[in-house]
Amino acid sequence: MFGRYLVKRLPYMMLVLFGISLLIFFLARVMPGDPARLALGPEATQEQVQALRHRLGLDQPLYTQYYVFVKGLLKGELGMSLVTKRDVSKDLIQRLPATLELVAVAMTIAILGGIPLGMLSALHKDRTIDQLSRVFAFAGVSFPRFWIGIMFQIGIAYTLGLLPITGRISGDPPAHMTGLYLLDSVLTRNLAAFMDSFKHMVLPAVTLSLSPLAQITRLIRASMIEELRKDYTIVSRTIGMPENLNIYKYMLKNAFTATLTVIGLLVGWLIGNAFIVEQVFSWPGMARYGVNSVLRNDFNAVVGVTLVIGVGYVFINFIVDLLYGYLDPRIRLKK
Amino acid sequence: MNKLAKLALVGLAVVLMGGLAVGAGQPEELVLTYVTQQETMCFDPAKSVDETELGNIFNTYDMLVYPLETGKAPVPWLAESWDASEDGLTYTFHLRKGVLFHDGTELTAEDVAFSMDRMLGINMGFSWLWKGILDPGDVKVIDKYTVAFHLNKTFGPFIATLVEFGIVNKDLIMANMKAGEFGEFGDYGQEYLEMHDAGSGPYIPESIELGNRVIFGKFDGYWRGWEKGQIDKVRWLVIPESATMVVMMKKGEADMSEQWLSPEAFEDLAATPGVVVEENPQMQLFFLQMNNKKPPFDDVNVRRAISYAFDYETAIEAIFKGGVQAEGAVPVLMPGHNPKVPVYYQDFDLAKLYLEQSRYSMEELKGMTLSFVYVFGLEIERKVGLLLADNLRQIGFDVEIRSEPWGTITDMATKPEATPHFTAIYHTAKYPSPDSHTYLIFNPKAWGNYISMSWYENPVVTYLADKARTTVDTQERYRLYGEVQRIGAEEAAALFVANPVLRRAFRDHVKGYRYPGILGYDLVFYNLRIEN
Repeated sequence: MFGRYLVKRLPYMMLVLFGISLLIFFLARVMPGDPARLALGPEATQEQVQALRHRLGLDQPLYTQYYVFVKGLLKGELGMSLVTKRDVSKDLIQRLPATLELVAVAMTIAILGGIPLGMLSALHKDRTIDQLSRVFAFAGVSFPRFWIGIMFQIGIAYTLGLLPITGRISGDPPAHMTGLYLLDSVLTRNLAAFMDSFKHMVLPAVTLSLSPLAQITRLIRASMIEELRKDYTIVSRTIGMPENLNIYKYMLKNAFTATLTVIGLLVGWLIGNAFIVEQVFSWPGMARYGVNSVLRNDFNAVVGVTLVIGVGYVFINFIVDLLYGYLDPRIRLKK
Repeated sequence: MNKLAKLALVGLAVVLMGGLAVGAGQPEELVLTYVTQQETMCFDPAKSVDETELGNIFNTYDMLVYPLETGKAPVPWLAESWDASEDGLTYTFHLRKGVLFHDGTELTAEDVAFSMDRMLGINMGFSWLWKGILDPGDVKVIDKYTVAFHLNKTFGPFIATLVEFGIVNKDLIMANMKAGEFGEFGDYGQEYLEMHDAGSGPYIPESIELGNRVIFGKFDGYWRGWEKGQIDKVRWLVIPESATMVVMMKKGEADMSEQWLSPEAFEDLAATPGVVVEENPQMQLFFLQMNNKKPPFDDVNVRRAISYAFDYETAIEAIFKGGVQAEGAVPVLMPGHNPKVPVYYQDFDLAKLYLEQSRYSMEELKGMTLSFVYVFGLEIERKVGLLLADNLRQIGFDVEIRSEPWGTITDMATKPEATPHFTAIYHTAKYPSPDSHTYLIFNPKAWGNYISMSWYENPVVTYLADKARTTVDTQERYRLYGEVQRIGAEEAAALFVANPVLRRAFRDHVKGYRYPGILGYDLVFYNLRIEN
């Protein structure tokens, strides 16, 4: 069944990716500023600028440029970054793990914190714990992440000196395996690197997690309240089914289906929008690279980052679709 | 306690004391942490152009000549001496013997010739300096330590431009080249130099994480040798938030800051115990380019009126918080600066007088709104715009201020009709010669880049600027450059505002900082010492 589903989804995914690549490629080409001039620096002669334009194929019609781009893409090449002066794919391979690791830890915090908080809130509706949880959820969504990050830096890192202010690691990084420092230090049994990278991870991950945590809390709360009012809950309570069984096995599972979509979207959204947190905590991730690329008019890098984010969205949605089937038998059977 | 236990205890004590003694005997590694917002992107001397890239290059590579002191001509470095032919077309350099690359091989004339061919072949970075002056193959090896540069035409500032010419290790590059567009030279080792170095400079990049940090270790075989107190290891960290950088400096997590913090941030740091802020006059010009092709700036009298309306004193004291008023286009510390150029000051009566002399009537002028564009995010430029708007209101002009991203500004620079009335620009010297400023600001041959956004054109000035470039005699060359500066200032080609100061913050144990006036050269960590 999974194979059949995958076959059905694959052409759709390819179409989406083709659409993204086409759109971003052409949008990046119409950004103001001459990329060749920006790459060469202000004093370069017009002749040098023309030579580089020719080398980059910028003097070709747009459809030819797109054809060359797609041909390169199939070989895993995304074109030269005008800033780092090397292939964008190399930059992305270097930067993506930092963002993925940050997003993964942030989402773990958000899910592990948001679900119990939402449940508690729903089960104690309109009591103190619910009010506090709602204030927290409201604050988590409303406060800007850069402000929270800076407050953490001043309070926890600077004043109390408990955690590092910035960066991903202070000492030597663990031997490269996946590029995810926490995982690599576990795999290589490097305790010093693990503790070092863990300490650096805490503040940025918590900062990044607050908004999704708040959203998950609110969603779980709303869904659970809805489930509490449903007939099956009333019946199961009436017949004396243990409350914990009712809550965890039936109500939470049903309440979680709606939240799952949002979690999927949040992961994709965070990959592209971790920029502020990466900026404040000097986190060398892809989101920061992407925004800087836009500001510097590094058009190949812009296309590369957007494609990765696009692929991330498509992939996450695919996983979410699969999980739907697992959580809700009606969807599974329909398929 | 039995004998065996006693023996074990004594043994343990001996081992521990021995360990401590060994530890005490080892000199402490001196580490310096430098913080900057600019991401480290390029390590190739044939491609590097901005301050951060150049800082890397000047620490890992050596040049033939070196700008040791501000305002002075460069001194011999890898080249112990040089001779110029009488016609000024051939320069023969005699290289220092025994200079080692980081892989232990000796630097020779072959490397110098190869480096220039590579620079010109890749056609990026500072290769524009020698465009039309040298072609690949024009640098000939005479013997192991002698190399001759055969110029296509005389080029007065030639020696000065060599401060941007880093020598690479030919054998290392050739051993690591990949297939590429340069025939037998493949990709000229470009891919290799993305993450490695091939230099002979005082430091070796031991670990490179682009956009995050670079760790430099000292090169024990450096030809100038090492002495006590010099830095063993440099941690070059990219910190995108200036507020974070300030916190790190205050907390002692960083020892040296970049120069791009705001004057207010430097004031804050200067008041912090343990932090010292160094201020040095810069070979940098901050100016407002006036588009000479756009009415009403196509009239010299209007440009003069604007120059007399601006409040230079407030700009320098309240906005830049230091520096001196610019005297024409060339920074006052630059060798060849002409101190006799006309310098404007705020005088509204004179400004109005010049407006009356212009070919535009007062009614026409009052109906015009002047556009002022500055680089997005540069607060100082925005403040200068506000000051200018306030000043020009006194003589009847409205100024519309807006910021644009850098990419848009470089686009605007390509056509006079796209260029605003005013564009706020910094221009720092890249080599110790007035040519660094006069060529780009006054010579129509340089049109199309952001330093030429005044679109200034005067055939006499063009002739003088070209003649200066081809004049070998230094005094005569400076006289010609002086004339260019004088006429450019008299005709108010642009609004020359200030030569700002360069500031950097240091923890107070860091000594020996030296600013030689050329972009990136003050980041040479070899000059620094750590005390206590």
